[in-house]
Amino acid sequence: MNAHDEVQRTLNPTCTGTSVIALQYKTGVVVLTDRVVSYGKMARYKNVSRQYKVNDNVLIAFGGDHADFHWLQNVIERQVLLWKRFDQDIGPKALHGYLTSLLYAKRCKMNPVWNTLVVAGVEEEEKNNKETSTPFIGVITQKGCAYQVKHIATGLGAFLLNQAVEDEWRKKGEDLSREEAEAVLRKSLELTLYHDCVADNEFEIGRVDATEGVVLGKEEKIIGDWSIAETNCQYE
Amino acid sequence: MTSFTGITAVANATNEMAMFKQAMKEVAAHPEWMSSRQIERQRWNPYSMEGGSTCAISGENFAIVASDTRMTQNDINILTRDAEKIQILNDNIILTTSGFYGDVLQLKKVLQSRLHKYRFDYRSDMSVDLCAELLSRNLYYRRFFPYYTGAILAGIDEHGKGAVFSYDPIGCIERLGYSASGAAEPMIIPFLDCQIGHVTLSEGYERPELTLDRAISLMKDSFRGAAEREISTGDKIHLVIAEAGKPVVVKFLPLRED
Repeated sequence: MNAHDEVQRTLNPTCTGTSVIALQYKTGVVVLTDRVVSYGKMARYKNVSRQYKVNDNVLIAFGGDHADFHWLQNVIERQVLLWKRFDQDIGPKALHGYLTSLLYAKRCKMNPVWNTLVVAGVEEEEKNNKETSTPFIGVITQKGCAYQVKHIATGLGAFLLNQAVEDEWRKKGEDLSREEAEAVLRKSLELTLYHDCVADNEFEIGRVDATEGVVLGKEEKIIGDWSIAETNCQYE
Repeated sequence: MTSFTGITAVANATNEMAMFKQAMKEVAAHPEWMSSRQIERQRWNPYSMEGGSTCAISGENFAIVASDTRMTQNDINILTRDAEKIQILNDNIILTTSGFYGDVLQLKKVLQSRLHKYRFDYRSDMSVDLCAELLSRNLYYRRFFPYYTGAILAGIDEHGKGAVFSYDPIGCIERLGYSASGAAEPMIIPFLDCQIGHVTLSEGYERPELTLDRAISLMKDSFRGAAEREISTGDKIHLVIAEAGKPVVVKFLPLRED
């Protein structure tokens, strides 16, 4: 590897997104991302969605390098078209498997895709049978380590929120309603806002539901409680 | 005469430019102020460790395999509490792995496809001895960019006896009575050495025979012990029991979750 190669690989991410928080509820998945892309610690691009609708059954959210995700969107789109040629819609499990292999292959070439991906969705066959319908959340890290979960927080959120989200999920388990799940996510975002300096207070909650399909969220805003700032003596 | 020097001047200039560019490239790749160790440290690491431990015990006509189901990040953060680290490849081959989970997934996929092809070609399931050799070759194939996994292959061999094969990341293979790998390996191995290998037992003491029930309770004990002391081991024991002439049994047992 010589110096010239370094600039053609993502070995240092430039414009990045931070945490993705996702939670499974009774008939689907809710996914929360904030709407900022940072250049280092600076909030460089605002009003940027970090969620991507693949088709009516699958939604992808990312944390990590924004440019790499743009490239991935292109790859995913081509894969969707390939499936279309056989009259099929790609499902979340298939896409999760495909992206796992892709990210692992890129890692092996020492040219990683600098993203943590959260693939959320419902399988088409299961949608018709409401009884057996199980929503899907799959996570892939940039090194190709992939797993399925019921609830997830990535990025700095993994350190801050995983336990909080898990506790909430365990109270209700599979019976969590959509409103309750969204309330958990809003509360979680407030926590990242206080502790993660690149998190933003403008966010969106997308969802994949067995009946409604993918519904991308509207831009929302929270302020949070900053009254403690008055008593903080460490700054001017 | 003058035109001749002009050409050499241009040639010299382009040559100088090329040398300058080369020098810039070299200095960017190996800056003088950085020691080789510093350069090494900055380089991207293609591996990550997800923790967890696995263990296998073989007996006269059985083999049992267990692993915990926790997956961690940096040993302090739990990614998931129900990761699968044991793969039942066919009725008498069980693969269990610890280490870098991306490689674990890849290794599983490679072996599954090779076993599928074997079934297609020979109309029968592969035996555990053959699969053990295959896995060793597959690991060594990646000698200079290894699968970072501590693999254990267990199952029932052609003679109906329990078999455990233990590997290092680059395919060194050994058939053992019992083996463990992963984060809690240094805790589980001495316990099994004492209880199954009887290496520290003085003569004249009773040496209980290794039955299936005893193996299962030893397995549970070793994981409970490991979960007490080792932070990346916990949540659940994924226990797989293979007995000669019987279908494979899978069990999940609770472990501590903190």
